[in-house]
Amino acid sequence: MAAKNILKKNLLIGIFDDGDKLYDAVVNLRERGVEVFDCYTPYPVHNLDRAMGVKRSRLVFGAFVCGLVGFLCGITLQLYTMTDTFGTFKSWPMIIGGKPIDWRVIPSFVPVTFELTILFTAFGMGILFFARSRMVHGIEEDLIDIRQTDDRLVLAIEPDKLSMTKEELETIVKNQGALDFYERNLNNTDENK
Amino acid sequence: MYIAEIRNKLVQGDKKIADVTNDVLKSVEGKMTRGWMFGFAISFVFLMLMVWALYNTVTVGIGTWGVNKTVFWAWDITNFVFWVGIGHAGTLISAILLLFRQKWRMAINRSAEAMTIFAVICAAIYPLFHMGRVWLAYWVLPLPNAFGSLWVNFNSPLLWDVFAISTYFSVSLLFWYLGLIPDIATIRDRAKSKVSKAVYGFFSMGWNGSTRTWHRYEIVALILAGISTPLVLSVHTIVSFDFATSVIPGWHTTIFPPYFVAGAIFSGFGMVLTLLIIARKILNLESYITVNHLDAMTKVIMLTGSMVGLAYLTEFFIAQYSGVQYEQYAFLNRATGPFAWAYWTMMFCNLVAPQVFWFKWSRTTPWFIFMMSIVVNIGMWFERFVIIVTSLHRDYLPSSWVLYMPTFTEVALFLGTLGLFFTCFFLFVRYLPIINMAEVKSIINDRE
Amino acid sequence: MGHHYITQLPNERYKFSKRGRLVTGFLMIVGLLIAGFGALRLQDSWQADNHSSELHENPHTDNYNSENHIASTHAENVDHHSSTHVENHSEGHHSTGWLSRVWAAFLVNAYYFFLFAVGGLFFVAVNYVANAGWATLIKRVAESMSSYIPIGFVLLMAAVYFGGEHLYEWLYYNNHKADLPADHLLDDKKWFLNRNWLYIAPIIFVTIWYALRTVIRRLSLKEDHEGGLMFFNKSIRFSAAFIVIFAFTFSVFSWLIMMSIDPHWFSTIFSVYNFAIMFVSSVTVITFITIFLKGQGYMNLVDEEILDDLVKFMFGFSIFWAYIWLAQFLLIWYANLPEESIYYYERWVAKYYPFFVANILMNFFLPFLVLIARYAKRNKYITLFGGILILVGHWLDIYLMVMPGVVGEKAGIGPLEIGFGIFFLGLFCYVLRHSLSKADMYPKNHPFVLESANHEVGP
Repeated sequence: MAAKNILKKNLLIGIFDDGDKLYDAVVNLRERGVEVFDCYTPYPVHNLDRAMGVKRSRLVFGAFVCGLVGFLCGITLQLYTMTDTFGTFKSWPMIIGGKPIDWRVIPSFVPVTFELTILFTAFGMGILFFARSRMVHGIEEDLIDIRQTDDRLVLAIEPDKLSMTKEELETIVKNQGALDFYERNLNNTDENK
Repeated sequence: MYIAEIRNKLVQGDKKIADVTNDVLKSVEGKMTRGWMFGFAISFVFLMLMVWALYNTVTVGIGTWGVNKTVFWAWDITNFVFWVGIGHAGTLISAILLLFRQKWRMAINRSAEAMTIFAVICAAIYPLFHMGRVWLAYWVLPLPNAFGSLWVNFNSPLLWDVFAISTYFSVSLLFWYLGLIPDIATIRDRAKSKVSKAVYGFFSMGWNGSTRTWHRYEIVALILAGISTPLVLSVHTIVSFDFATSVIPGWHTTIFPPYFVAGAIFSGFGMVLTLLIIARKILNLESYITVNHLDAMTKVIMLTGSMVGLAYLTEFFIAQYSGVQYEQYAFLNRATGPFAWAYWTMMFCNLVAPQVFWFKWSRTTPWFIFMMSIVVNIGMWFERFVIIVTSLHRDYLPSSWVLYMPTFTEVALFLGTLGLFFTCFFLFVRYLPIINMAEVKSIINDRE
Repeated sequence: MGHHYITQLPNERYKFSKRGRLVTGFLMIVGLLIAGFGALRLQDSWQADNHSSELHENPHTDNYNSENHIASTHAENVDHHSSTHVENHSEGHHSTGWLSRVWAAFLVNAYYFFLFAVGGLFFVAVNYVANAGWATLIKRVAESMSSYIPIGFVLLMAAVYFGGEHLYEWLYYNNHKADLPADHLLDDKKWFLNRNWLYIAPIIFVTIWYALRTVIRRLSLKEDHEGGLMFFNKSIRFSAAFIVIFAFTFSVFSWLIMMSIDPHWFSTIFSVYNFAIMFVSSVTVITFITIFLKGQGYMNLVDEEILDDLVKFMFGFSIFWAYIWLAQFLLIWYANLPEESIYYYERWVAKYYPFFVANILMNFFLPFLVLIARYAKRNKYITLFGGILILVGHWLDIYLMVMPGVVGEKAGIGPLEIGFGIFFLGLFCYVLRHSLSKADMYPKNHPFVLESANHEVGP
């Protein structure tokens, strides 16, 4: 979410009311060598992430690992409790329905193993997502515009990395259909409120 | 993304982004309406009926139910499967339709997912209380036994069910909550009162709509959809295993897994339609949940209804073909025995009635679809009843043949879970946006 | 928006080159030669076998006896019919000469390639009904696959007519009742398992499918010339009709042609299982043909976005197949009723067990691991590797459905099976390429064709 970073930054802000305009603005700016710090939108604007040059997240890989862990947990739990694979049958081998008590009972383990794989994948990935995005309950949000979760789209650019003057940038952004353009020193937390 | 001209617009009535927020949040931010209070009150009364029925069951015992020997499963499992089945549409809509990139899902997935969660809660009540000593329910968890190395039995389909239902519930909840976060943030930023700002703020987890987060968010949603799709299939598959792994004639048949899944989707869409047709009318959301949405959903109903019908005929055929006389009798008895009325109700409601959706008029007339959705709900309830009771009430020995009648407690319990379901739904409509605003905003100019 | 969409489609038509004709013809001839060689070798070895052990007129006898021993320990509670079935097996199968294996090998391949053709048609119909746009560019590929239906069906029925007594125990039983011990179960099933049904029903079904296919194809070709939405709307209706009719008739079709090879056995999911094989393997074939055409310089508009989605279908329906496989296996394994579990006992003998394991590995586990990553779906070679696993795997799958019921343990995978495979491959490719060359590569007036040309997979 890069939320905590905003507070210490001085940002140039363009306010839009339409995803297509914002998308075009980002494409245009990137063609002119202006890096976009971030955009804040009430909805996922199609392909905006690609236009901004966001690298594809590796969450998928994390999910795969979580799934693998779930799979192993599931199969181990069942082999441990239902078979003698780990030498754990001291007193109570459970022979139920004539099912074997060694590895041949594996077909019985398919459902639970599958469910645990899914459970671990889903929650593992959920946790990874929240952690990576620095989201947690009770955190204070950093909004640039109070309507950025409603109907306004915010374009944020760092002025210190700018290859043109702020005035030039303002002209471009306004030509792309921005409703408003201003500079905001977000060191001043009061202003953020 | 290029979209052909002949496709219908998803959101009708030239809505702007701001209109979406205003229209959808009207029920959350506005005052409580009389209709809402009235509906909530009635549901709550029924919920109290459930509380009474459960109290009666626990204090007196399972004897208050009509189950007997040999019909040891009847009303409770019928309702359990009924509710679990209804719970399938939500994840189907949000997961499978997401994988197939069906954008019309976006207007209906939120309420369907909510429905999933409430339906699974309703379903869980039945097996929990059928245990008798409900306070020992934790014994179904794989906890080491203090008195020896005795564990839960992983060979039992009933235990598979425990894992399947609880996984399904928690993953659906996660999926639902994840989808809610951006919308909760919207409510937070528009909230007037301090309390709601704090509460919605707490649940919004500091969401600010950064594109980098959206990027990850979309990937997570896609993967959750990818894993929820087999999950949805697995849940009703495992429910069907409760029956099909046994050797009871009429239960042990290999087509049960896909057939139960098709039936679950069928009944789930029936319930989604029942709720949404009312909701879109009362909450004035006809521009978002359009007739085209109803059209698409009725097509799914028709498809899954036909699949279920195909499974009925396959079962019937194979029973005759198998040459196993018990199997043959089980199916003959369904069609001609004492519960034939239930069987033919099921046949009519599930196989015959949905065929009316071949006609365009019937797919685009809301009141008619509403009636049909009730028919589907009834049909699918009877399907479970037929499968469970008719197979059990004729044992191998004619001296053990019995009939089954529900008792008042059982009926009250069913009406009560309906009350629970609708109570939850009314609360949901009041406190959370019934339509996924963020997603709908992204397709506001889009075509299906 | 800053997107640049493709709005014009180039005119492309496949040219069935002379070299292509030669290659397919060569494949057919070589296939037949190899199969013939295999048949001759088989005849020799079979006779040698029978001389050495004259008592064993029927190679099934031993095999069934040993299996029935396992199965019948569970048979105490089984009713009269099922136990007769068990006994009947041990009393002997029908005439299992070397020709049985020839016909069985022929049937495996004839059925498999026929499924591709039907699957292609099903793919087209499903896309119409679902209003799906992404696959419009490759629609002609699937359409051309279905042009194999008539010839494929003739060959399939040739196996059924001429090899019927070898392939179907019940047919042999019905025809030679006087000389055989009574089999009550087969007598009971005569209302379905009789010659008339077997000979006539498939013809009726496939005629209907092909009639609908002809209509859909004609509409599509007319659309190319005349344009307009009328053809599209009509196609949707015919496709819906096809899917409904297909669902019901394909079930009966698969019971008659495939399930009745093991006439004492039954499984309600069998038709769904066959459907799963059909869909996953024909999607794989569509992918392969597309990659092949791209390699030849055609279909440049089909980029990896469309291939990505096709591979997702391969991936997804491999899982679906595994699900259906598991549903059948797990339920039969768990309940362990002898009249059902005999099916798997027959496939767990030393001869078939490796295939049984390979079946699951090649159709589910390996494609799952190979195709799961995004880059795998966008890499031609990984896709081809996964696809070959799926195609060979499902060939094995059908092999496992056919062989144990026809020749017992006298099976194998030799020049016979492979030769017929090559022959059918050549024939299928010939018909396909011939059909491809008859129409434009892109259905240029299809309302969704530009959607497909500008397709994007998304996150």
